[in-house]
Amino acid sequence: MTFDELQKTWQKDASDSKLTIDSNILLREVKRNRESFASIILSRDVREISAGIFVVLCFWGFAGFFLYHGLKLVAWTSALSTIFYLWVILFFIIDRAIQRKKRSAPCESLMEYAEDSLVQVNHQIWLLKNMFWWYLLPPAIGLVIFFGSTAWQTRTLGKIALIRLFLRLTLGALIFWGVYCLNQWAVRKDLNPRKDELESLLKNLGNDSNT
Amino acid sequence: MIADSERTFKDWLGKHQGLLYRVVRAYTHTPNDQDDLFQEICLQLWLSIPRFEGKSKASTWVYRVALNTAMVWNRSEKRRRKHTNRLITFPAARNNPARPDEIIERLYDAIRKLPKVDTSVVLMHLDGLAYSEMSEILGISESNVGVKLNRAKKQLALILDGLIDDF
Repeated sequence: MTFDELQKTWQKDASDSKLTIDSNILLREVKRNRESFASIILSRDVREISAGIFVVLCFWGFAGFFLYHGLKLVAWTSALSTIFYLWVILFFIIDRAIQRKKRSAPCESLMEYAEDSLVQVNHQIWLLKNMFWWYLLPPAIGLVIFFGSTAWQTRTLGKIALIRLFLRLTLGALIFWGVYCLNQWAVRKDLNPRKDELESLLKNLGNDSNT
Repeated sequence: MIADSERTFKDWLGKHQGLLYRVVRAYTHTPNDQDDLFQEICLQLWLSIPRFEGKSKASTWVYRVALNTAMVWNRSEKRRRKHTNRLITFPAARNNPARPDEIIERLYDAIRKLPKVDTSVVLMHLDGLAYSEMSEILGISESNVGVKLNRAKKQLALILDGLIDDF
């Protein structure tokens, strides 16, 4: 059989094969998927931002509480800590807005779509690999300042205050380290294979016309 | 506006369902994956309607969306399908290898073994698309399409082991 004959057999089969589709049900499902996808993205963003705002409000609450009880230093450090949390929220919102504008659609050519997808995956990898700097370090600084000020406030307790400070910082460091490791695992498990796949796709699309 | 979009979607689905079926079948191995990918392509087609300005043929547009979605589709992503019943009933050929279209079955098996880009080039060629259309869909030059197609055909002939004579 020649390739042309194979092509004819293929095209004959293509014209004979009929799918059974209820386009109304499918359309309803597509719309539902669209809404569900949009709500997943929105709820994830809202959840992240709400959690950040909740922490900020907690620290403002602490600040008010300590101020009320005359502990001015701890109150000020509590209020100061919120700046670091606000930075994380702001970074998150701005990054989302920028990435949303950049997002490509599959109606572009495959080359453009694959390149854009790779840029997005690389950005996700960059975000997670550098999460220490933008996501963990700012709240960690806030916590160190806050715990430090409470330790200073109770310095008359001597070693006990130091041990408390050490335990709090160790617990905080362990939690942050766990979050960091979890995200690096996600990079290795999901994002790196995706990146390799897209790179291989782009490599295959590369210019062969000179070979 | 929404009514127009719905009409366009149904029109595309009616006219190009065969094309969608062939793309889905070439890029997936199981019926569940076929159903998932089909739905994903339908979703992307629906989302692409506002961007369609009629500058390219509808078939080229649908092909482009379908191939792009299929090629970057990730099986491990969360499944969208929530229906217990399938929304699409695919032709029964794949479950019945004794049918005379065994050649087509073998061809699909072979196509699935090709790299993703080669799969797309072979699919478009078998469907009779011109080099210019393939070049537009893939975003590469026509000469590059020619080189890729020739290479893919050779590889396909190797996989099909004697079925194609002219390679």
